[in-house]
Amino acid sequence: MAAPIALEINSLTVNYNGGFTLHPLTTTVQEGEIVAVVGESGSGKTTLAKALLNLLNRQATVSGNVKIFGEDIFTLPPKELEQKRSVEFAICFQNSFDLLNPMLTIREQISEVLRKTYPAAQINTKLMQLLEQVDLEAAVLNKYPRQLSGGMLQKVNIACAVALKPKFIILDEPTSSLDYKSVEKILALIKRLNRKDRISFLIVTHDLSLAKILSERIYILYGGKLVETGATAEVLAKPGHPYTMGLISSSMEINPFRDIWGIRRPETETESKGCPFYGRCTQSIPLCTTSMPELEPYRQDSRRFLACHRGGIITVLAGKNITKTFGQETVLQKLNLEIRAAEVVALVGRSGVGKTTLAQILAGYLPCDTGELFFTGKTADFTKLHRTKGGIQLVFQDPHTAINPSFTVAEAVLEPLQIIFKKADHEALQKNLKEVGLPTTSAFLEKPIRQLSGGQKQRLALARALIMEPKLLIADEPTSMLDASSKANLLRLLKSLQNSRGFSMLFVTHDLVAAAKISNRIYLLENKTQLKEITDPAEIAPFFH
Amino acid sequence: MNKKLFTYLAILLVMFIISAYGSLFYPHSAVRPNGPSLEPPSRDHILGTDDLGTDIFAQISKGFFTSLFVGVATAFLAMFLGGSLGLMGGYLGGKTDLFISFLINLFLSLPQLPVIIVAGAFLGQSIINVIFIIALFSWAGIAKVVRAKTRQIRENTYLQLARSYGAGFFYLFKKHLFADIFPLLLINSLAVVGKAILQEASLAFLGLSDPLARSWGLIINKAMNFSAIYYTNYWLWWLLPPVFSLVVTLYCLRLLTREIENIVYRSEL
Repeated sequence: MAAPIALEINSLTVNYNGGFTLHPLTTTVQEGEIVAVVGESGSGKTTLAKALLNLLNRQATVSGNVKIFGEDIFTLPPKELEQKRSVEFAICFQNSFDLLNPMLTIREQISEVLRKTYPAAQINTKLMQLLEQVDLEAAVLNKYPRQLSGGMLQKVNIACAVALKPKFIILDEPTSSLDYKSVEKILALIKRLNRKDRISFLIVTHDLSLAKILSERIYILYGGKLVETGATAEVLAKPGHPYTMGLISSSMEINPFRDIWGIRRPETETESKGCPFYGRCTQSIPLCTTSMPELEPYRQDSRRFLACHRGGIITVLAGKNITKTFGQETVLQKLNLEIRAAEVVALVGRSGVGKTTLAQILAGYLPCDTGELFFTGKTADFTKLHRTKGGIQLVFQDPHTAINPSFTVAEAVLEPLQIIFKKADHEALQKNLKEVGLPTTSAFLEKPIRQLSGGQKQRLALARALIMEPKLLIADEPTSMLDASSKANLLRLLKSLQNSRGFSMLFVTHDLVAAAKISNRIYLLENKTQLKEITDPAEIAPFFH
Repeated sequence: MNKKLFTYLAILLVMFIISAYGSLFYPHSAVRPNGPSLEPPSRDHILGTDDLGTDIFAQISKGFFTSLFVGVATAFLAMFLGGSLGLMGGYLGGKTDLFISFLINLFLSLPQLPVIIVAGAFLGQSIINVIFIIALFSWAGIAKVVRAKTRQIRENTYLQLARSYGAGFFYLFKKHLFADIFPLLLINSLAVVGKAILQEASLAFLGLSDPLARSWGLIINKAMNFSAIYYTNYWLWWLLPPVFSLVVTLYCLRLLTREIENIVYRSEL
């Protein structure tokens, strides 16, 4: 028998006069289930939480309906709603201080809740139990809210929410101001209540790791729109929406090894009619500006849904069954890999294992014997991809032979445009040089390449590739010639350019540490037949000494 | 300006001016007898006359231009032939390269002088024929160097990249190949100038060049065929001046080539 439904939301819509909207949302939470609603600040999480318990003030227009254990919240008389609060369902808000009465001591605050169910005689015992559960000392009971720290207040709030063990609890950023010891306690409490008392939780948070630890299902909210949902573990392992992937990349808790990069700021203002993520998305198409994508099943998984006109993160380049032989010797055999939009993938392997060969095949500079390559789903036409903007560009390993030493800086960077479009775009030249951290003075522009250092040549080669605005940049050992400091600078530069411009990058290196730092995924080329995919940073840990 | 380079150029220029005077303003013709035969040097005939009474100074002056013409024309031909074949082999690679490499090695391994002599004898004695024959045996060295350099540049990824952007041969040649190949071509062609002058002189000395064209080789040939030359003082003004002119010109050209080579390679460092 299916578990009873704790929460049922039917096309819940919120409109503020100021214009903010929670787009129609329909979903259910089963009894005993923990669901996380994740999104960054301003994504509408708190609005959703408040709307669920009809707590929004008059400025907001709310439509649709919400049922908690079959009870329609919006039609319930305010008195009855007040009766049921804390008993059948509870909410715990983020800014704890505002919600407590400053004139009452903590003892009185919590007792007030307990009094709804328990006789006066039991209140004291219950109080002490609660305090122990949320990791507070008895001394706080006689204090006033203003005498407590933010973390303590948050615990008091949680204590109030769980005091009567309601069957459904909404927690808004429950751990945002707690230290790690207290977080552990609260998480244990939530888990215990969920397991022992089958209490359902809706956890509203911006913290993906909290969602990862607690929830079974996850809702990703962006701009008041549900963009992706599914089983938490699956969504986090293989995100479908570009926004989800961005969130994951920005999470320090999920990426202890990796450098953290936030999602890029919007390039253009979003039209209210289109997808809310349009301006920050790296794979948007004209359709995205004009129409709002609907939530649709994703990858034949009955629990996963996604709202994206492009069907989720697209695969920019896919290689299937790549085999390459040089004479008698087979160098690569039946390798498969894919690079998705706005993703940094590292190709790691020992020297001589065939990384460069594979990189050149993927970039279209070397034909493969058998196997197929697909660019955004279509068979890759490299001649065209090299010569159009939004294609593939390769930064060769050796910067000394990659640029004609007798060229000037300007000539070298402008060469692709000069050959393809027969004209020099000096604006693009300035922009790209600046972005790779090179001077743009006319003296530098006129400097012959042979007078530059290895690091400068490397940056220049990068600028030349970037001037073509590639969708996929393949960089072959871009840091092999650099000292530690230049290497750090270049890696950060590459990653920040990738992040702000939103292209995908294949980073070829023998340096696993560097790969772990900047890439979303790693392909480990172990030998000619084995290309191992590593998504979880923990898998790389054994390689570090 | 480079001092050595200047010296060599100055010497060649002096020779040019003297020869220009000898061919344009000197009263005597280089081809017709214009005085008593076997005259010693005098105010009228600066270097005397030969056995037919033709002025020797006029002949040597004309010989300078003949030699220079042969040298430069041969060098141009060899440069064109060697340059384009070397470029083709190096750039295209594959079967074309195999064929061109075969040709280069064939011409490099043929014993040149005997073949030139035979060819010269067959084709008849004209300066143009001589130029063609010497050029035919001079291009291979140039082609070999140009081919190797082109191959080397082709290996550079910048060329590969430029091609992937859609650059045609003309663009690649103008932007990427020419600057690297031209100095090589220049140096090797300058070397051909000297070589061609020497070979023409050799052919003329053997009597296989144009008997009407007054070249240094021909003068030397005639002087040495004059049986009494060593018994008299005639060798002092009949044999020595053309030999001296030849040696000085060749030596200057050789040193000039080497100096330019130095300059080019130093600038590449």
